[in-house]
Amino acid sequence: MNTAEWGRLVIYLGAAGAVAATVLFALAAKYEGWLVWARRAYALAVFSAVTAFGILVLLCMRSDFGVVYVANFSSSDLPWYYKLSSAWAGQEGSFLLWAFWTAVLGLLLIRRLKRYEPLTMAVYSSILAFLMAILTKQSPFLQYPPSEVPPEGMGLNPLLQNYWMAIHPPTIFIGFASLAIPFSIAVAALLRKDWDGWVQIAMPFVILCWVTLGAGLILGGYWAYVTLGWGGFWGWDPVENSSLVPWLVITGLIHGLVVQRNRGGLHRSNLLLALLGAPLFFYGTYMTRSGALAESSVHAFDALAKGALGLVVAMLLTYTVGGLGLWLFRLRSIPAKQTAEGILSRDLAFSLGIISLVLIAGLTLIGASMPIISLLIAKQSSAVEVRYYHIANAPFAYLMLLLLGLVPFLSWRKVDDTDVFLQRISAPWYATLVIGLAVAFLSYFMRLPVAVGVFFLMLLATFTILSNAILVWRLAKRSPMSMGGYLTHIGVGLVLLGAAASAFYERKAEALLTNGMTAEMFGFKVSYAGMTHPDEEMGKDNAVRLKFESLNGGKSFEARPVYYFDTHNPMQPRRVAEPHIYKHLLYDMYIAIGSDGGGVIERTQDPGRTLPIRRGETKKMGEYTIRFREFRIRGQMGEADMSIGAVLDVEYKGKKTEMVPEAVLARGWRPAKLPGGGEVAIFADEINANERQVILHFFGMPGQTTMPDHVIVPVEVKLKPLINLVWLGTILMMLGGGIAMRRRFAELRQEQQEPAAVPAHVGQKPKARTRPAPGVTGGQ
Amino acid sequence: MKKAYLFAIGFIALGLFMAGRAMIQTIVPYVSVAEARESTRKVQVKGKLVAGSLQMDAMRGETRFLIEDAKGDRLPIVHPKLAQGNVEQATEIVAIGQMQGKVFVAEKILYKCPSKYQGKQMQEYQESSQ
Repeated sequence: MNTAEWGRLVIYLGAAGAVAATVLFALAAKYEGWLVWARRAYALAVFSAVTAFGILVLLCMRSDFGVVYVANFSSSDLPWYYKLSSAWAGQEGSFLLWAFWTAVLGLLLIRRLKRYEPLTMAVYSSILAFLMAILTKQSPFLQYPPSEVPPEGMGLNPLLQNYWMAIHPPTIFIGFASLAIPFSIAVAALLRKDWDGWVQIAMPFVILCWVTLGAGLILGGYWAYVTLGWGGFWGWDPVENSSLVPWLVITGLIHGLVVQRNRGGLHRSNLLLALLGAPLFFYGTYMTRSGALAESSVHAFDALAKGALGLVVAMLLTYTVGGLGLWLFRLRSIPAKQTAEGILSRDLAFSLGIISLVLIAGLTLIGASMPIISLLIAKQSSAVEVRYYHIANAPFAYLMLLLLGLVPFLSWRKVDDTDVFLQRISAPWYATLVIGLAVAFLSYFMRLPVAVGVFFLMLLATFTILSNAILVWRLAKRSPMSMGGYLTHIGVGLVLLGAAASAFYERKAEALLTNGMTAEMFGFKVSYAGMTHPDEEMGKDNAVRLKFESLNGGKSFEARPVYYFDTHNPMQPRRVAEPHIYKHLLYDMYIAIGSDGGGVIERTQDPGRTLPIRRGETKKMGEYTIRFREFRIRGQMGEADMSIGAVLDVEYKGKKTEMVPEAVLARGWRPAKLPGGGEVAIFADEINANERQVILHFFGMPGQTTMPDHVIVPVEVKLKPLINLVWLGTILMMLGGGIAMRRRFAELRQEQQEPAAVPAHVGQKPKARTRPAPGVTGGQ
Repeated sequence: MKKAYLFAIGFIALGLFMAGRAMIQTIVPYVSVAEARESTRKVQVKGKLVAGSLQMDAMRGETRFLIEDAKGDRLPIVHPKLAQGNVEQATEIVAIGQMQGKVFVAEKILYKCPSKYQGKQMQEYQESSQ
């Protein structure tokens, strides 16, 4: 048995282990004696998932192209870290990564569950069982028959060969896997009719989920920004939305759990939110991997095999119907305690904040699902434009920002003295007004565009940043562990401020450059200075060299946007283009080749790829024998779309075909496809009517390996002000989340070490460890 | 207390109303070539690239081509920028835009290319937008 066969076997073993664990844990809820066996079964599942993942990594590192997956996503010339990351670059690998993290996180979870262990682990193991079962249907360990083993792999998609892309999937899949934890605990709570006890266990894990999912989203956004070349970090793509929606729900859940711990309310909605996270991601998985959205997404989807897709659907239905059904069944016995006591109270602010988050999640989900919904309702598939997400979500984003700015100065219950409250918020409020007026004046004098919505958003974001910063400043000395939330809120304000500024005040300049031509852009004289490796083979890290010389005495630099051909599939060389980002403290200069990062137009004088030919002549070019029969003119002389075609008789491997590459006036062209790959084109400015001669240009031919030496480069430069605020904000968000997570894990450990100190009614009794709102007590 | 709830409910209702309007304004239906030709609003139309019709005009920065839908209907499309990547190898193109006279002006085109992973049923989309 070879390694890949062991892999297949281990997957089956894992599926069996997880199914057994599900049954045994469920039994253990009634008969405690089974618990030992349940744990053993779960250990077997973990061992199998980890081993299977290890085997896939090993196969990728060994470049074992006998395995279909490895041949499809890896190649022997990759550095070790990209061989490693090809283990999760494909469909099967990413499911295995998901299963791997689910299994491993279970080990962390099981130690903290105590009396919750049997029921929680039964549910949790069942999710792992589903994942392992999907992997039996969509196995990463399929092998080629020995006679068909390819000598080399297809290589990792060059866009994925990026530092950020190497760590994005492992991070975000911890988040996806951990969505199962609040779900499982909530089911156990509903079954046990324990409306408060689950909160303390779930809390740190929910924050873990928030941090990892959030970090994954951020890394993905940063990757898109630095490699894709369209200039943004968030595109409301279905794949992005399917992670954003559960993340927003989890964000709401964290706040709900805080309210429940402090004020003993929101029992029903917390259980509901905990039950929604995982099924929402299962739905996203279905949406993005079934091909249902294939028309409206730009992500590369390989539709799942039928059996595996069926299991994804079964998983979605099981946990949605099961979770919601159980919640509805228990709804009347879950306590419903009113908490909000006044307009100026944390209780109300938290509730409104949670509602805003859930509504943003819901509206985003509806937008992303529109192709499916419209097909069901109107029998005609429709998709929403990106601006839907901005318009629909804006009111709730504004409300959320306003709340984030007010919360540091609110206490639980209600503010007794409105005057004191107003006095407290006056500092950040006036500061915001001053900044707002300054921005408004500046916009007026600099003739910047103005939009009320964007201005309002930036104002609210500034208010949020300032008022939370005041609180963080106070807490930093006194109780740094409790400042996590406020730090995160500063981050949210910064991200939204930076996103609004960099998108709304973005300026763009475009130019077509060629040898000896210059263009002026944003105070720089820009010229094309060749390729970085003009003599290298295609497929090596070539980049376009663009000289940026400052016209006003500033710093000059050379931009090197990546541009080369990936030739792992020699029949279909593929263009790879990545932007160059010139970083400045206040702005980014985003330099991309062509629209959306593609499209250097190659024209070469290289004799190996050009062929001057006269009418009536027959010449050879590689394996082609070409006779230039005659010109063919279409359209009227003088009109822009008049075209001149060269009628060619091409003989290739004994077969004759006629083809007509055409030159269109105004230097457009229509190439003709050659048999055997590649194409041939002619250009208007190279047609010599007197000599009756044209120059044939050959592109993308097999074996054509050097970069063209004569190019026209479409350069697109975008100036994006304040984009650094986005990155700073994301760092603060993760830092804040990390602090909160540490605090909650520490609390959970402490509570579990002294079980006697915590009576059963956790929610009813404000605990000693819980402080009143620090902002209010700030004067102490 | 009541006031707080009324305020919240009022705000949420208003927000949802605006979201509904946004949905109506921004929804773009997928249509056939015949429907696209008659349409007066923004639509998305899908079809095969008619072989040999692709024209990249570097000076005007335009991409022009014909698509043919499942019924064999053809539609001339202008994309006001040079499309990236291998449009010529596209097996299927989705154009999002509006009719202007007899041509369809696509502000965005998505194209599905036969993937480099040949032999497997993999497809991928590339995107070009204004």
